[in-house]
This record gives sequence, C-alpha cells and structure tokens, in this order.
Amino acid sequence: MKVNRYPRHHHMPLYETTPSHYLVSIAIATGLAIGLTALLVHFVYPHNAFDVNRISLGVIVQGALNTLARMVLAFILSVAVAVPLALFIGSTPRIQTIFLPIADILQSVPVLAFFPVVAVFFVANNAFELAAVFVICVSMVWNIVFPVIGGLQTIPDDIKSAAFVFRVRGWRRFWFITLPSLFPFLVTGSLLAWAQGWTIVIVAEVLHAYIPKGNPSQDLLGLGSLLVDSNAQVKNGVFLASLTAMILVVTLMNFAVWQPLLRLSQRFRFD
Amino acid sequence: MLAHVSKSYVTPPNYVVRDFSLSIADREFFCLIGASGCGKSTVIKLMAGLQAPSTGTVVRPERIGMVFQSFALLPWLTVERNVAFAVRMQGFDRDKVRATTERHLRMVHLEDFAERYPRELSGGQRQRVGIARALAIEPEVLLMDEPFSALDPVMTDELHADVLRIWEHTKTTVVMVSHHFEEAVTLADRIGVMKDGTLAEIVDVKLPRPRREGDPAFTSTVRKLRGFLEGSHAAPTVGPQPE
Repeated sequence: MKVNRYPRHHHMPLYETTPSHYLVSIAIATGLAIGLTALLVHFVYPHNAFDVNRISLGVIVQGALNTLARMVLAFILSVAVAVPLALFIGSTPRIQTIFLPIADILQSVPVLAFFPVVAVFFVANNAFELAAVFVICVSMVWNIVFPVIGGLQTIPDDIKSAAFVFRVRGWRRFWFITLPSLFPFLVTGSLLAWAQGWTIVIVAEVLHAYIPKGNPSQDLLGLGSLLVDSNAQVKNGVFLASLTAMILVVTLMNFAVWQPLLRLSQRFRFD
Repeated sequence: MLAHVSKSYVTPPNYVVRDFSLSIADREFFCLIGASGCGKSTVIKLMAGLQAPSTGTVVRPERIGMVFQSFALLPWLTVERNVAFAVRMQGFDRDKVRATTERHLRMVHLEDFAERYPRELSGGQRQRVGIARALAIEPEVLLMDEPFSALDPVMTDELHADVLRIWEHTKTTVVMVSHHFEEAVTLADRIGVMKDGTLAEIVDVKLPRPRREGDPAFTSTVRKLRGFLEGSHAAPTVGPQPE
C-alpha cells in the first residue's frame, strides 16, 4: 500500500522563509535591542569609568560584555551600510568602473588616522559609546563590501533568467534570490570584519588617548581599554585576565557562531 | 509567435537574429536546431521575454515555463521547495501549491527525493526537478534551452522518454532548442532549422512515436535536416504551416 507522503497535517515548508531570512531577522532584532540599550546606557551614564587598580572578575566579565555589545552594534551598522553600498557598486559594470576604484582608495585609508577627529566630535556631544562604535564600524565595512560585490558576480545568468521567467522580480528577486545568494559572502566578509574589529576595539575604547588633555577616566570599560590601561600601569594580572577573556570570547564565537555559519553557508553556494 | 524579429546586441547593428518569423501551434512540440552561434538561444530568450527584439514583434502567452541547460535550481532549497517556490510566485493559494507540487514531483518520479537538496542529485534528477518546476506553474508554453546538453547519453535517452511521456500527458506546447538532429527528430512534431540568424527551413516530422534512431525514415529525416544546415539539399521539403 502506497503511503500518502503528504497527509493533511503535513506542513509543507513553502518558499516564504529560508535560514537566511531567519538569520537576518534575528540579527536585526538583536542589533536593534542591543543598540537601543547601549544608547540608553550611554546617555544615562555618559561613560563607564573604571579604576585599573581595582579590577575584579566581575569587572572583566562586564568589560567583555561591553566590548561584545559594541562589536555587535558596530557589525549591524556596518552590514546596514555595506550591503546597500555593495549592491549599488555592483549593480552595473559602468557604476563598478566608476565607484570600485573610489572604494578601493577609501578602504586603504587607515581608520585610526582620522579617529582623533571623530573622537573629539563624539565626545563633545557626550556620545562616548558612539565614538567607539563608529570607528569599529568603519573598520568593518570594507571587509563586507568587497566580498558582497564579488558575490553578486557569481549569481549564474540562468538563475537570473529563471527568476524573471517565474515572475520573481523586483524586491522578491532581492529577498528570495539575491540575498540568499550573497549569504556565503556575507559570512566570509563578516568573519573578516570581526577580525578587523577585534584589532580596532583595543584602541577604540581608549578614548583618552585621542582627546586633547584626556585622562583615563574617559575610557570606555571594555576588554580593549582593560588591556591598554593595565599594560600602561603595569597591572600584569589584569592584563593577563583581560587577554584570556578576549581569547575566550573569540574562541567561543568561533565555535558557536562562525563554524556553524560557515557550514550553513555551503548550502547557499552555486556549484 | 514571432513576426519579422531581429536582434542585435551592438550599435551599429550586427544581427544575431535576422527577420525571424515563426508561429507555434497549440500543443505542438517544436524544436529549433542549428549550429552553435546561429542565434537559436537568442530566439528562445526573445520568446521568454528575457530580451527585447531590436525590430519586429513577439507575441507570447502570459505564463511561460522554462527549462535551462544548467538546471537553474536554487541550491538552498530542497527539491520540493524549488518546485513550490515557483508555483507560489504565480499567485496560487497554498493548497493549490501543495497539490501541484506533489503531482508534478510524482510525474517526474521524484516524490521520494522531495527533501533532498539539488547537490545531492544526479544531473538527470536535477533536470527532472527543472522540468517539474516549469510544468508545475501550468504554463501555456514550455521553453527548453538545450535541456539535455549537460547530461550523458544514457541519462539523455531516459529523459527523452520522460519528456515525451509528460508531454503526451499534459499536451503543453513545447519549444525546444537543440543542436542534435537525432534529438530533434526523436521528440518534435516540427523542426525549424536556423542558419546565420534566420529560419532556413521548417520540416514536418510525421513519424509515429516512439521513434527509433535505426529506422530508415528516422535516418532519412536526420539526413535531410543535415542537408538543410549544410546547404547541400537541392529540393527542400517544408511541412505545412499551422494557422
């Protein structure tokens, strides 16, 4: 007897959502939540001063969470900027010819070169957190832009033709075809962006180094500032603890986030 | 229907398709053959609306299905979702999407592969998904752009039989592009021979199905087509044009 493979209660998963849609939705929701919280915190508490001579494990954990929150917010913002920018630059060969060299030059400018100017501006407006988030974001953006532009070139012509023939056009084409096609490149670019971000966050949180007549009380509590300030004051215990915390966070992220995403992204690659 | 269609990609014009006119009858299996670079893929893209003609008019039905040489399946969707996705995009309701997807997967004998991903399938199976997807949207015309070129001969023969079986069941109008004479004679009711961007000849194939390559009538038809393409046939025979 042939079993009906499609009983009435069978929820046939239709086209509406794919893993990339869930990921994007979760990422945006998380980013918004974290961002709003961070903004609220930094307006209520303009900066989170700390004394490197009195650091407990709890402070290091707090610092790790603060750094992670800044990185996540910066990442969300960088994706929000990088993806539309990449889609624009990669949209036609003519636009690519004009804007790709410009993007190439811009990404070569070291972000820390203009960070002092940025820092002064944000600090003057009482936006300490935003100063750090901004510079981390700028450092991340280009690592996403160029892989996404490359990813646009890999969408096969037959896929674009099939999308047209089957009436997957306009925003539907972007949502159901383009975005999933770009997912592997977004993952690769994000990995590179976070690697760059970890490098920059170490200096981005040490605001006093970029403010005229600045002092360490203006630094943002985070793994970066703990590393720099503890090293400056020869607090080796704090330094080692902060370094260990950073390594732990990076390693955990690798296992919990990047490896699963890299495995998932294989499904989205065209043969 | 294409009326006096020409297509050039460059300015000044260098036409890859020149003054091409063709009418396809309802429920007909029409095959367009020609050498590489003769413009037959451009013609099928014009039919699908993927390109606009430089001159002339193309009258196409509202719903067109298409099967691609490279299969054009979405790798992140299962077999079932690849078909259902296309059907849902036509605006059908959920129940119809479910029923249509199920029916067409059965038609191509892939109901047990519904949860597989395209990379887990053979080339022939992927093309079956492509065929199921194209037919599931209930097209008025099915376009096939060299659908078997990427497959080995054994798989191609299997799919020829499947396509004929499905066509005889659904009676969808089919326009297929090929560069294999034998394939065209196996499948088509009428064969158009393209040469240098124009339609050189149209041949009626009145052989009963199933057609066998060893049959004298089959061989003779192939020889006639080859002659048209090479320009060595003295007295071409053209089948009756449909209304």
